[in-house]
Amino acid sequence: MDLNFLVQQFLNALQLGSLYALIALGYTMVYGVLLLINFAHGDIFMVGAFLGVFGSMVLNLPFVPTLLLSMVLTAILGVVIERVAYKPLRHASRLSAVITALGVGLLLENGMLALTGADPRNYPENFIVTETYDVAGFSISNVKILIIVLSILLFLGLYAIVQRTKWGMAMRAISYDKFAVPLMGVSQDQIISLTFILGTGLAAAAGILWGVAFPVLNPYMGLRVGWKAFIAAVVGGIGDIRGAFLGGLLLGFVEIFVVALGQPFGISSTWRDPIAFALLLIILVVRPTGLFGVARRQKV
Amino acid sequence: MPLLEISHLTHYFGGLRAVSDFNLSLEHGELIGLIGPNGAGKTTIFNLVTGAYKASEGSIKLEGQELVGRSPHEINSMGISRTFQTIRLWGQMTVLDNVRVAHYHSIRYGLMDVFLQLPRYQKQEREIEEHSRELLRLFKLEHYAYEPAMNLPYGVQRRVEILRAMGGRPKLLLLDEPAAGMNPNEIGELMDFIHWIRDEFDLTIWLIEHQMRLVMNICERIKVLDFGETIAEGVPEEIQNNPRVIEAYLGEQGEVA
Amino acid sequence: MLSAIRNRFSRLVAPLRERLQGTPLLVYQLGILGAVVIEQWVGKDFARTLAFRKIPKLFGIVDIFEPFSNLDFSGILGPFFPSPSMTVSNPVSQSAGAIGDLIQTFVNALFYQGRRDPGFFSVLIRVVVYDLVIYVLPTLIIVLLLRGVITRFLRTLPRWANIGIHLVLFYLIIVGWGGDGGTRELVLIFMGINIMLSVSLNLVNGYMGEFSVGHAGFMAVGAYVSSVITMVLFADTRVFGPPLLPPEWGLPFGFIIALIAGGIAAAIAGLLVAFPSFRTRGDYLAIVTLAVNFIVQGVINNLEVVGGPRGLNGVPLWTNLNWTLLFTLISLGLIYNLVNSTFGKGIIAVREDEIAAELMGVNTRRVKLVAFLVSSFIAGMAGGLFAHQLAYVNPGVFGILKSTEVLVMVYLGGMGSISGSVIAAVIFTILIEALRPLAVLKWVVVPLILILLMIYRPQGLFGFRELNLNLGMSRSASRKKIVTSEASDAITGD
Repeated sequence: MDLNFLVQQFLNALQLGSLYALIALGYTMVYGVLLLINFAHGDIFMVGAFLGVFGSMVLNLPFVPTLLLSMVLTAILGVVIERVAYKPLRHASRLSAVITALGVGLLLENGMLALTGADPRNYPENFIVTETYDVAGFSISNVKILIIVLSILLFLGLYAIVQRTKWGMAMRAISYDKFAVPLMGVSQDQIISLTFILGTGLAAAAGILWGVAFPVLNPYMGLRVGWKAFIAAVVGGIGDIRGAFLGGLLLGFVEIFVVALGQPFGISSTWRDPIAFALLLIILVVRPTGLFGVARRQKV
Repeated sequence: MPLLEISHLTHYFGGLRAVSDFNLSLEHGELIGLIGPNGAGKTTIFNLVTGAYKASEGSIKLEGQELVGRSPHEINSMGISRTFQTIRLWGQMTVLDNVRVAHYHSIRYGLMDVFLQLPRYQKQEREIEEHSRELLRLFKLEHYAYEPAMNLPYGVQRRVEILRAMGGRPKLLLLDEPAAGMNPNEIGELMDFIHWIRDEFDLTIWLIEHQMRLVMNICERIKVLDFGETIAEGVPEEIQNNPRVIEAYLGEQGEVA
Repeated sequence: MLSAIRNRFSRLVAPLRERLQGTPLLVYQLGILGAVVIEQWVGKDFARTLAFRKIPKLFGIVDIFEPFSNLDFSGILGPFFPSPSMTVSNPVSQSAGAIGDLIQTFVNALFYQGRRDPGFFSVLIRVVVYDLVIYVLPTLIIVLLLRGVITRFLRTLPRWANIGIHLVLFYLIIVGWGGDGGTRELVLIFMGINIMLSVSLNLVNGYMGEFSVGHAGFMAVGAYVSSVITMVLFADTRVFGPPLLPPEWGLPFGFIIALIAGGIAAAIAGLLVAFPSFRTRGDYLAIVTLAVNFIVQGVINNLEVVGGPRGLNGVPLWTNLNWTLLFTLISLGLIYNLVNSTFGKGIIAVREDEIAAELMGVNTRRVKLVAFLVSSFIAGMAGGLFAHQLAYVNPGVFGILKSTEVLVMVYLGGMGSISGSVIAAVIFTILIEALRPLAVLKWVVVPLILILLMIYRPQGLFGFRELNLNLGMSRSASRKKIVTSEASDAITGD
């Protein structure tokens, strides 16, 4: 196993992990504000990726405008979903909302399949031209760097919003006390909308970056990726955005290195998923509330 | 041998000492009270005795057997039952089912007996059902038997909680603020009721209460707790005139009695 | 407007309803049996008279949707999300064109599609006529005729005879209507499997109040383990070679043992969820179940012995209506007895307030363990039946989608309700079968129903209640009923 191989794997892990992380952020933010597992989030990621096809193939836009367009449109979709499907259930049992989210997810993926057909899509060749640089003897692809850097920037931007702005503070406060937030001069509805805008926007970005890195898009692409990112969010400690980001990276590293380190021992790459999930399971058993989650003591 | 013997019981939440060096010896058939300002650690002591929390230090013995380290359901099966400060009935279940489940520790049948409805199962279920109905009758609650617990008026729920606690045939009953939310009339009835169950079921009762009228009237012995420490102990008259107790309560209630 | 129709309809049937009030179940059973006999006798001819080629499928529900089978919606948004092979010049006009075509096809489907393919309305009217003449009217006539006699007769029966006669009639109806070895039998078999799945998941999600989202994982374990057992022992297959035991031993004993072994294996897999459940609750436990589903799928994918992702071919085709009925009834019996025992009420107490349950003496760990084990055991047996019905299993079938299907059934029927789960499984199976002509649109309709249900009736059809069957027993016979079920009956009266 040479050093170059390890560096490549490291980059692969960072790339995959940061994509998981971007999706996981949306799960964790919605959970933090509404205590709702938004099972439709993986499919929103898919819609984001598909809107990238719209931007690049139909409108012939370059990368950055496509990314922004997809983020904006997906964010609108996110808010609409919240208003139409989740808001009526805000005072119902949490379970109804979760089941509804499952339904919305199914609706998105199967609706997309029914309305657009089953052919796999990809972005045009000139969308991002792959180049490989030679840095200190290691070959590094521009796509990976782009994905990693962009993901980290988006995360830092989100972190700044959540930590520094009035809106972000209200967002963090709302999960502790629903009634205190209106006192700060922002309405609960506004905060929830903002949460969905940020979360779904990031999922759209992840969708497009995913399409650049793994260029096969289909309506079911969000299913597995979404559930995995969700698990990553939980492992990080759902409700905490740093946890979600780290959880995503962790999942990426586990998946890539299970394959990379397992190969010499005859563990084929198809063991990636079960081993990754088993590891995450162990983490949850040892730390039931995730890496960053705070155990809320049950009062007797 | 005393029924319950607590010695040097101490409990920490993180760095905070919630209970320190609590001692108590409870004889069979006694009716004693535990009072103290809010946050004094009264409910914590109940939680330690029933196993909801594991004591940091000290020992709790029921008829000579150590309780610290045992799980709550085990302690319940050994003969300690309780009610809660805020009602914790199983709301969607009927009153009868609430009482039935309290018999859980007396179940001796296995899963196969359940699946195949074997005689052993039928016999035990019949006993549980009969005992539950007997209790309902004694508590004059039989007409609520099939009512989901959450639909009952507050005062009835309080009684059902005591009824449920009796399902496990306890030797020691812990009542956590049984008079909370009751008006003076109801408190009067409750006092008679507590006396009655002690005599009827040959129980030992230990209660936490803020209503001084109730405590002073029915408890034979009272312990006063403040900031986790015992500041006084004695018969009601002694407690009423104890300067430390008056001081502890001054901030909160102004007078004792 | 809808409510106006409903009012008028209910006024129309009100006198009938009044007359039928308090009619015991057995009378309806006899009526339905009569209808089944009539269908056997004149059904085919009557269908031909109505210009059907065959007896309408599933009361004609399938036939009604058939005209829409060639609707293609993919042109609507397709031009906006083109695949590389597609040439798009003006997506808006392309899409408009597709919508125009779609409307055309839709209108054709409604009215007339050519000689061999009648339109929707034509089918609908004929299906309604068929159902009225063959099923509804005979049933009603028999019910009205036999009502008094049967009601009196039932009062004279002891409890065991009462239940026995209901079961016999139920069996006759099922076999008479569905034992055709064709579509009906297949649908009934899937119905039975779905009932097992939804009732068993309801034990965990409804009665215990946890949120398991990985039920298909346990089904997979049962399917594979039972298949491997029957294939190795009793079948000559390419994968495992000649059978180790004489194939004629396979039925009935081999099959029963294989199904139970599948259930046990699934229960062992259930430990993967049960142990974490001691420390973890709610959302975190949901993840554990999800992860277990993924792990099971992933492991099977990697087991070359059982074909890996290609799946396992050549499972004996042993599942039939009788086996399915037997195992469905056993599963229902297990769960019913469990949740009505004091031990089982402990499961519900855990849902209502776990800490109070533990403090009142309920061994919550044991209760959880049992709930998860029984639940996954039944799911495993259902998986075994499933595999021996299809003769082919692959890990892809047992994914999150399958788990979601089961969740849909549980919440459609209502948490903590066995009859709700049964009815939901029946409705769901028929719905899926009926919507089959609509292809992918089926999976748009199902989640839509789910969402509307959650918004307008979040407790499901029968949340925390049971359907009360009128068995027409005399008081003394029903007194003998084991005391415990009375409590649940009493709260269920609607």
